[in-house]
Amino acid sequence: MTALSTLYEYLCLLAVFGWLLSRLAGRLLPGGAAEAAGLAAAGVLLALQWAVPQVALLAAIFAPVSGGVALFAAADLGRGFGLRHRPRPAAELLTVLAAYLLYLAAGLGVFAVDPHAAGYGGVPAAATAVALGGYALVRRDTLLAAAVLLAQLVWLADIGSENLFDNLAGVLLVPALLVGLWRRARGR
Amino acid sequence: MRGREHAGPQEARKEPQGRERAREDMREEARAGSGRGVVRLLAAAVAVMALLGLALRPAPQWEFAFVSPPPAGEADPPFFRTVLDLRAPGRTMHSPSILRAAQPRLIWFEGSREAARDVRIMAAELGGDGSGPVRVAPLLAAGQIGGAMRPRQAVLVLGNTLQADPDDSDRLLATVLSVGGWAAASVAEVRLREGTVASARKLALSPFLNRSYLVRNRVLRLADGDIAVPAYFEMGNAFGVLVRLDRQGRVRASSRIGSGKVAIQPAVVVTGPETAVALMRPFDGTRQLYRAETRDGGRSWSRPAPLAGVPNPDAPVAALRLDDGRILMAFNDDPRRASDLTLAVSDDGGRSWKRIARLEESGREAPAVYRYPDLARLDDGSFLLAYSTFAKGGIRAHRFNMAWILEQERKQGDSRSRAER
Repeated sequence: MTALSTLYEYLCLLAVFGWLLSRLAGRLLPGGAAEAAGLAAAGVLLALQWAVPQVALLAAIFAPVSGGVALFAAADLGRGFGLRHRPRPAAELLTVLAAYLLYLAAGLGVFAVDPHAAGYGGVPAAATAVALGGYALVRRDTLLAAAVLLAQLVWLADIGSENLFDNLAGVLLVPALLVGLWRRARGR
Repeated sequence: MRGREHAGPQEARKEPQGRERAREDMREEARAGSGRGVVRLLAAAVAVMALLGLALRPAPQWEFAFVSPPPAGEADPPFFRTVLDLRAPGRTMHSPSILRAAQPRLIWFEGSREAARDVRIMAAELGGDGSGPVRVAPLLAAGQIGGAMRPRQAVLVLGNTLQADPDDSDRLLATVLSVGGWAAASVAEVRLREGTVASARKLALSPFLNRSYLVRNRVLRLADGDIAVPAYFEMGNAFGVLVRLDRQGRVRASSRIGSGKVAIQPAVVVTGPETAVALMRPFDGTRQLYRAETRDGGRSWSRPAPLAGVPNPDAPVAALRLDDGRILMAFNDDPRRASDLTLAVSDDGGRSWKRIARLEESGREAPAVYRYPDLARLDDGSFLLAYSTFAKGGIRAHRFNMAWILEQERKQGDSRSRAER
């Protein structure tokens, strides 16, 4: 299980670093080439992690990377290679951003309730997964349903974070949502 | 056929285009149909996994393993011995913690200054009877922990470190820093094998980049074998947390001890299968020790409240339960300076305290700053107390027995009686 867990964490880092680097490469390269360059650069960095301290630092900052966020990053990378998926409405992005920021604030002790603690198990964790799965079904959102399922699988297999909510979402969601909102505002 | 014969060349071109569009629409429809099928399948799988989650990760049963302490040895002759007194002028030695084992050890962090990159966790092996030290040597370095994580992570600084499992001194919990100050710390579970780091991983405690959780005080055993770790959060807000780890060292639940910016570093003393008391360092400028309690095995806690008559100079305390049900606490009995180290007992669950011995006080040595006590009961029933001396410049440890505690109480009672006469 340790080997599988390590492989999973590397794949998540590859997807997220690849996405971040491809966005930077996108300023110079056309679609497709930028994604390929971003993924290749992320792969090289991870392979050279023992020689490149910055990689270990990034891993220390972002690990454990959320499988859900990694899946969305991978899907966004796929756009460069022709993978099509329906753009999400701005209202949905705004709602998710507001809810996630409230959740983060509660995690920082701004409110007395601690929703993060509910992600370790029991009815609240199960209910959250079912609610998100139901929403994905209503919206016919294959990617969201797949992200929830992936988060549940790795959580129950003790891979990555021991908290279901960490596997569903992570802080990297905030810049990703802001980028999404920026795209909608520019009509893209 | 006739119609086609009469059709002009433009219409003839339009017809194949229209057919192509219809085919594309049919393909789109088919894709959407199969997409609906896939999403239905995935949503059904999510529902099944949720049920599986309820079976595999149910809400845990909170109950403390309430065991009687080892024999007290009240009839033994009283003894009090200083078993360790180390000083490193110009360096920082701080936050000692006792590792309970057949041969007890003391660990602490040491380096050129607190939070410097050269800080190491040092260990002093004590003799089997608590005498010693037999040997003092480095135990852990930051790079060893980061290098043992998969994927490799940069761990630059080490802080408070303690025993993660009351029955296994090779399992540690280390406060680690990769960026920023202590408010950006994380807690790593470290496993040692033959003196080297066999594995290390950070506990997932915070949704915000897993930051700002630290450990200081002794862990507790729960009735089902899980471990309860008193931890704390200190990024802007400051509160205590009881973290529940399973036998594999994975977090299974957590409960906050307070909220907002109140008190940190809970020293938790179990008083029954479902009751415990947390004594906490004030973090709101109150300069009084805080107390909270649980009546449901640690699942929920009362709001921490300041204790009248127990000052605190913004410093942690150490406490444990005596076999007669009372609580023994080591603390700084001054609201401004940690220039004393005092022992007190409570027979009402930590609400009121009777001072029994003043182990350190200002004027004996300089700088007279005594902080971060740790208190443990050894296998033979004796007590080991360790703390930092010389304003984080040294480590001192004493071993004493129950008979000595009772003797101190008698002496205090006698002096009080004389004062009243």
